[in-house]
Amino acid sequence: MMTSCFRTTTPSRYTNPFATCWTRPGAIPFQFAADDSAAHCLARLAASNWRGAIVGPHGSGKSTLLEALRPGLVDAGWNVAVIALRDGQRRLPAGWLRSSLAADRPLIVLDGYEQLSRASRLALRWRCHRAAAGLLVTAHSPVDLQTIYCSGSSLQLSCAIVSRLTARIASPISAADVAASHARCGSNLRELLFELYARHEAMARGAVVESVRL
Amino acid sequence: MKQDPQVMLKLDSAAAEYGAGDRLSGHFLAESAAPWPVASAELSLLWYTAGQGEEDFAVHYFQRFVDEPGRPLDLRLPQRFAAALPPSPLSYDGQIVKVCWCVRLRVFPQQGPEVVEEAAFRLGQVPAAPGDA
Repeated sequence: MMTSCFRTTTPSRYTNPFATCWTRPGAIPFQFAADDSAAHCLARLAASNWRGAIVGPHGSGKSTLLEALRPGLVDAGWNVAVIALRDGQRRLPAGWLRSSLAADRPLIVLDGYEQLSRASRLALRWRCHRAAAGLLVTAHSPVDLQTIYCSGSSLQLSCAIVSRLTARIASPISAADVAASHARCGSNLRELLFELYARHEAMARGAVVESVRL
Repeated sequence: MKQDPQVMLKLDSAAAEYGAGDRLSGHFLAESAAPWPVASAELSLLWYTAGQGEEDFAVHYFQRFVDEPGRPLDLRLPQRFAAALPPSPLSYDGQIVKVCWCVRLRVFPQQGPEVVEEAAFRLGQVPAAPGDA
């Protein structure tokens, strides 16, 4: 990690490497486990008749993996329709599924499958089956679809991602800061990056930041 | 050895600080020994938000430079631009969200990937948010 830090007087996204624009799904390439890849994931999805789930805890990279798999799905000839459900959204927006399934070779990508009620899930699976559509979802725990990938996090992964982010934009964040945030956030990489964003801001503004105890 | 052209985007004001209603001007060019065939270049003057959470942006001024018969686009020559700045939103360096202004240039070569350059500037004098000392 780079340790030099500067703060220009001109606001810019280049002043904090942990800003949303650098960390949102798709901005950082998904880091697969050592012997895995997007091609392997797509092969597992194909083997389960193009219906599967990515499973993992909050902030572990499920949405990022969806973004990583998207080009491969398009290359395989699917018309990909993506929707992300927010907390409490128990059903799909009216008309969305009908119009998505009307496409040629549709594949539904649903981020947040467990938000749907049981009846809505059943209806979704049935309608995808009837339309010969693919279905790829994310969930926090195994669901009624074949798990094609279990996402998780580790200190090593957190350090690798922070190194990548700070290679382009300097930050006073140290390896000890990353370790401390990892200890607090566990597998929630999104939360870890949020913490580092705030810490970077505080340090760059010269605020007194509690030293990290390891 | 062939070298990629270096695209330079410069504002006339070295301080890059402007007030509402001020006129911003500058130029861009490509430093290249040989002619660099370019299909077009797009210059935008825009603001965006950066920080944690949702992002927003809007383009205030847009100008397209096109290579066309009788008016070839030679980026080895300085291409000038100018625009009047709006009254808002003013630049703000907040801890959670920043309002950022920049001039963004996208160059589309006849071959190869597009080249993007940015020049950040400040609109107004809103003080930055202090640290939580």
